[in-house]
Parts: sequence; structure tokens; C-alpha cells
Amino acid sequence: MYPHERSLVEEWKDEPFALVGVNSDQTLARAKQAILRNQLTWRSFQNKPEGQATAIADDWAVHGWPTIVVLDGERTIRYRGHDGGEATKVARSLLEAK
Amino acid sequence: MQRTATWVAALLVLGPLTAQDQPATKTEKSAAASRLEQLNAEQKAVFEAWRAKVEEQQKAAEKAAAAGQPVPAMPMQPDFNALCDKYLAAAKEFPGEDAVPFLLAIFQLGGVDKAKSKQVLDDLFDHHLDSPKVAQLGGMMPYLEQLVDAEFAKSAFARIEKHGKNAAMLGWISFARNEKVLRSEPATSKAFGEAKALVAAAVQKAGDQRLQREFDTLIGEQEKFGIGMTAPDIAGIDLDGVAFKLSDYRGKVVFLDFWGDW
Repeated sequence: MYPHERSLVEEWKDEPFALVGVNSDQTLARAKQAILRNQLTWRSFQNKPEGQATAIADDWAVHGWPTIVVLDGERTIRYRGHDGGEATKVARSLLEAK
Repeated sequence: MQRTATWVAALLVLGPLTAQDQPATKTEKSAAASRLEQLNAEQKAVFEAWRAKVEEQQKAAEKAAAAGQPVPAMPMQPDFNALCDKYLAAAKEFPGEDAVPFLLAIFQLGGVDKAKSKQVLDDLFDHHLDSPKVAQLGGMMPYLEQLVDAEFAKSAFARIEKHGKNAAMLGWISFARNEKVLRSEPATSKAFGEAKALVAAAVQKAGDQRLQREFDTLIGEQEKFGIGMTAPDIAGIDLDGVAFKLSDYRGKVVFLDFWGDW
């Protein structure tokens, strides 16, 4: 998944597109190692940092990882699921329509 | 590997199955119950033997890897096919309602091949749909096509619908048939509304708590996070502790990835 996401960020760097993560690793150190090792350039929310009442993944009813949600410019949900290929198709068609 | 994942999934959807039965007479009850107990103990022994073997092979693999030699493959799960035959034999020996716990127990095993699982499901759907215990397989219905195959799922659903009296199984089938629409159509669409009404009626008749829970969860999620719904904002911090919001990306197509590297 990481190489595919890196390629999307590269391909759509001049488009109105953003890849945003919600990281659920047990420790920050582990998440940061993954970012370095896999050269991830995009920003991620911490799923449940200290002091935050609930985990973002719980609030969003995420039960499996990875889960991808594709949102249009108005934050309308256009795709939600586990299929990176399908999510990419939806994002591509949204960008083409812009 | 795929089969392993399949049967692990089967265990997840089935959940714990009842191990006891209510046969016709006291003598039969004792015989069927003790046979079930004996087979369940054998199941545990097969599992323990497999686990011991895996531990042994793990040590050998570590040695091989340290010496730069190829690491031998290890079995991903115990081979329960022989034990499956014993459960099937017991189901024949204790017919009628008494057979059901033996047949259901087979679905707690991993490593049973597809042909055998078809055989067991055929037996349950052809002869035991009057038993309320069969509804323990209800959670398997939405996955039956993946677990066995499309043709079998079609035939199984048709048999359950033709029988028509097992309300719990009918509820699960209604859920299975409409799940795709409920997951893919906008919650505000006519198709979603019709599917929801259809399944809700079947779920109400079914009186199955697991089904009710699955249905309520799915509808709740789709009505909040389904296609076409406006996602809530996220206000949080990034991995460096810097605050940001999902709404910072207004006007952009966002690929929101819930990820982890565990």
C-alpha cells in the first residue's frame, strides 16, 4: 500500500488532492519508524493521543485496517472500504471532474 | 493460505457454538453427550499436538536461518479432516436433532476442506432446518459465497427459503442478499431505503440477537459514514504533536487512510 500511496502523492502533487493518515500504532516511535522506513511524506493524525477522549478510528466506526475513506472537496464521503484500487478510481474520477 | 484465512474467517463469523444437545431419551442423551465430549477432547489433543510440532519446527527453522539454510514450511493449522469424519460418523449414529451439535462442531475446526464443509452444510440444510440450533450458522450466510462458492450459496439460500420455517436463518439470508446494496448505495437513496425496510422486517421476525446487532451496526454506520454522507471534521494532532484539522483540506479530494505498522 505504501508504494501505491507514494505514487498517488507524486502523481497528484499539482492537483487539489491530499493524502491524510490516521495512525493507530501503539507507540509514536513505531509510527515514526514506519514513516522513515517507508518514506511517507504525508501527515497523519494520532489516533488517540493522550488527553483525547476517544480514538478517531472508533469515532469513525473503523473495524479493519487499512480502511480508506475518499472525501470530495465538501467532505462528502465518496468511498469507504478496504480496496485501495477502488478508492484510487473514485479519487481519480473526482479529480478529473474538477 | 487463502483457505486458512477462509476458515479463520468462518470461526470469527460463527462464534462459539453450543456443545450440548437435548435428545429424546435419557440413555440417548448420555451417549450423544459423552460422544460429543470425547470428540471435543480429541479436537483439543489434535490442536495441542500441532502446536507442539510448530514449536519444534520453529526452533529448527531458527537454526536453519542462522546457518543460512532454507527454512522449511510449517503447517498453518492442524489437519482436522480425520476428526471431521468422526463428527460426521457420530452425526449418523445419533440421528435427528441429536446429530446437529456434531455437525455444528465441525465448523469450529480449521483445516477442513471445502468438499467436506459442503457435505456438512448439505446435511444441515437438507435435514435439520427445523432445529433452531442451525441458526448458529446464520453469521456464515453473508460469507457463504466466499467460504464455499457462489453456486453453493445460491442453492443453500434456495433450500432455506423453500423450507421457510427457520425465521432466524431467513433473517440472515435477507441480510446477506441486501448487504451489498446497504453498503454501496447512499443512505439517502431509494434503493437503500427499500433494502433497509426489507431486512428490518426479516430481522424482526428472526428474533436473533446477533443478527439484530449486525444489522443495527451496519445501518448506523451507513447512515453516518455511508456514501453521500458528510463526514465529521477531525481536530487532532499529527505525529509531531502539531494540531491540524481535516477541514484544513476543504476544496481538496482527500484520501483518508486509517493505517498502522504493527
